[in-house]
Amino acid sequence: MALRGRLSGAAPAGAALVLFWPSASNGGPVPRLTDVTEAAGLSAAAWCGGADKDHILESVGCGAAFLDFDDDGFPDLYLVSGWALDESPSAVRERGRNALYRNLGDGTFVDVTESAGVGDDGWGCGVACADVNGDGRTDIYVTNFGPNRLFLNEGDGRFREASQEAGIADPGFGLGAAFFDADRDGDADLYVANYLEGTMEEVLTARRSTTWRRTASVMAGPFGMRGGRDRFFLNRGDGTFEDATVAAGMEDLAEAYGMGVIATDLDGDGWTDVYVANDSNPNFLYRNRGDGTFEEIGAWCGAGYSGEGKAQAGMGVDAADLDGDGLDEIVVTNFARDTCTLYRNLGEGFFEDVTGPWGLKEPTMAPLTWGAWLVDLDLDGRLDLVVANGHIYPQVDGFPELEESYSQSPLVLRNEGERFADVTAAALGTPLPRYPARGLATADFDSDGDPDLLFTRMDLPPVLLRNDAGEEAGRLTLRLRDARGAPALNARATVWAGGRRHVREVRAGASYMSQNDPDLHFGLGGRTGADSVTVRWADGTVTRHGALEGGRTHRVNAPDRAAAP
Amino acid sequence: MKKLVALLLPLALVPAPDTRAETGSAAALAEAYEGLANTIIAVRETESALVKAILVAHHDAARAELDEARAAAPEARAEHLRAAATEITYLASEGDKRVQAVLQRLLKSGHHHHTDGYTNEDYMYVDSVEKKALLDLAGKVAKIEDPTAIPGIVDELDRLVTSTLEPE
Repeated sequence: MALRGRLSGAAPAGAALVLFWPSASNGGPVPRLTDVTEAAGLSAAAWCGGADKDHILESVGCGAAFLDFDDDGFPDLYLVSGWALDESPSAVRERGRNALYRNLGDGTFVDVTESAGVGDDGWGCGVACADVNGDGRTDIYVTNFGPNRLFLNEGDGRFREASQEAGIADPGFGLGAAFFDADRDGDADLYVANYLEGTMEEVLTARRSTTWRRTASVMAGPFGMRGGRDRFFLNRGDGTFEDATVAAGMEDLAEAYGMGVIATDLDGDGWTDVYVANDSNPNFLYRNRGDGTFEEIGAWCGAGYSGEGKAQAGMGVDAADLDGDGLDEIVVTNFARDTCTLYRNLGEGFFEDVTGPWGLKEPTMAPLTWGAWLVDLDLDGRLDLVVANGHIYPQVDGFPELEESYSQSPLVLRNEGERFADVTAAALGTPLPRYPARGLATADFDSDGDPDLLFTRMDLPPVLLRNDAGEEAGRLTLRLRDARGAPALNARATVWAGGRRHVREVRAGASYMSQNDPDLHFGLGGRTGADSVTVRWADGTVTRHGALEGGRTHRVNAPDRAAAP
Repeated sequence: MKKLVALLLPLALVPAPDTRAETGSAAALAEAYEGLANTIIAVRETESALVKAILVAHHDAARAELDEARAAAPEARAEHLRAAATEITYLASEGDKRVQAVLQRLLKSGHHHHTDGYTNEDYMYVDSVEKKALLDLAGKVAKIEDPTAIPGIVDELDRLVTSTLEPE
């Protein structure tokens, strides 16, 4: 097992400037998040139908992924786009193309979509990235309204579309997707959440037929529409897949309206489970039986319904250990006039709704919430929660009495120890910026040691918020790589620092149709380094490491199984 | 069910009302509406009986799994308890996942027997309080470690189901 320290890349201009705004809460300073979208060179819009959003397809938006496709240590960015529609008459105005931005290492990006060959013009929705064919390079999988796409990384800056030959050109209305190693055979398997059944003709002829809160005439659905069936694809080990949905016990008989997906070990048995946030249906928790097959336990495990026993309108999902017991809590984003839900992990696959005790009810009740990440923004060692918000009905803007708006401010909720405090105004400044946001992804794009945020927006370019917490706070970054050099899927690192445990995991796909950079960022709460580090790799192997110096990126390679005795 | 479809199909072919219709036509249309009303009422009664049968079936299945769990060796017990828990969640949602797929489509026709629908109305038999109690009971069943707790759980289940099926 090789373990070598590696300094992160050169700090970009301006990264040394650390701005701390006074906190509105009882904690320390809140790091200021600065909009640097234009300066970073990000301009590709995510088209999402027409202005009126007459069909529900036009409301789901698009995801984004940070990935290091050229393996230069700087997270690149893939942005998904749908299509632009005209309203009268309803017609396709533009088939939007996805965009790949290469990180130049100085805080700016350059659009390399054409040279890379990844500008698919299908109606794009979500994205997940992993090494699909075992060549050590990160590939890109895009969920579409229509056949999904797989772009294999050729290693020379170009990609090759290979979804048909790989067997994962699922033709449904795909939203969330996650790669993970279901059977511990060392390759990336795939779960795809399909939202509902529909055709482009239905999209173009849709008329608003629902009355929202006795005022606005808005799109219909999803109730009344036939739900899409999710799919599970098992990697044969050579980058081709077989549809193993039924064989693995993942048949979506409920035809639930699947949206966000996360694959992680939720019961602490070392095998990767799958959680699906379903719109207007109970959420699924597919518990891995320890052999790559699954049992769906959402309805009785405590994480399928709210604590009141209601199915909510699940959109996005993230999971992380909030309370330091080594088990991941789950946070699910939901519809407007309902809360995000936080499920505390009780162990052995059981959960309880702790939304209220953690202070999530009040700040999350009004907005319509989508992307979510549990991320240590201020590097104090506690995971904070960031949520992307935006209504699905643009018509609400015409009815002020509803006190709802299509564009909404993101939420920045700081973990103050078993409770979140709303520090949005302190982090974003006032007046609060408002976006029709959907996807949310994080990466340390400027290599200053703290996680930055990217929000996708409806019919607009994304917003990139630079976080400037990293220069003064204790922090550590781990870059976990598998035996082939690719990000080590579902490798789970535990860092001990000053008697506190911090757990992070490499994942491919979560939040809302999005993906974080696979580098794992640890805030050490002012400590100068880690006392010890343990990594549990996806195959169950555990490696232990001594103290690691803070303030830098350490690469940790998985043990080579082939070389093992 | 096929008979019902056959009954309803001709009704879809009833012509739109003619504003200049004579009294005789109006009477015929009213008669057709009377027929439609009878059909709707009959369908509702059929649905009520069907849902009751679904609930009874899941109750029986849950009890059977609990009985098996009580007699099973520890390794097999957990499997039966999880199966019982799943059956109880089907009681809570008035049907298994296949039925849930049907229910979510029925909202399009104003059929609101769905506690998770926009209207927050109760199911046909299971109200929101009973639903929560059944979900809690399912979680409790899945966590059972001591088989001597099972008879008490069966009693609790029976009480809940009896109260659910009682006429309001």
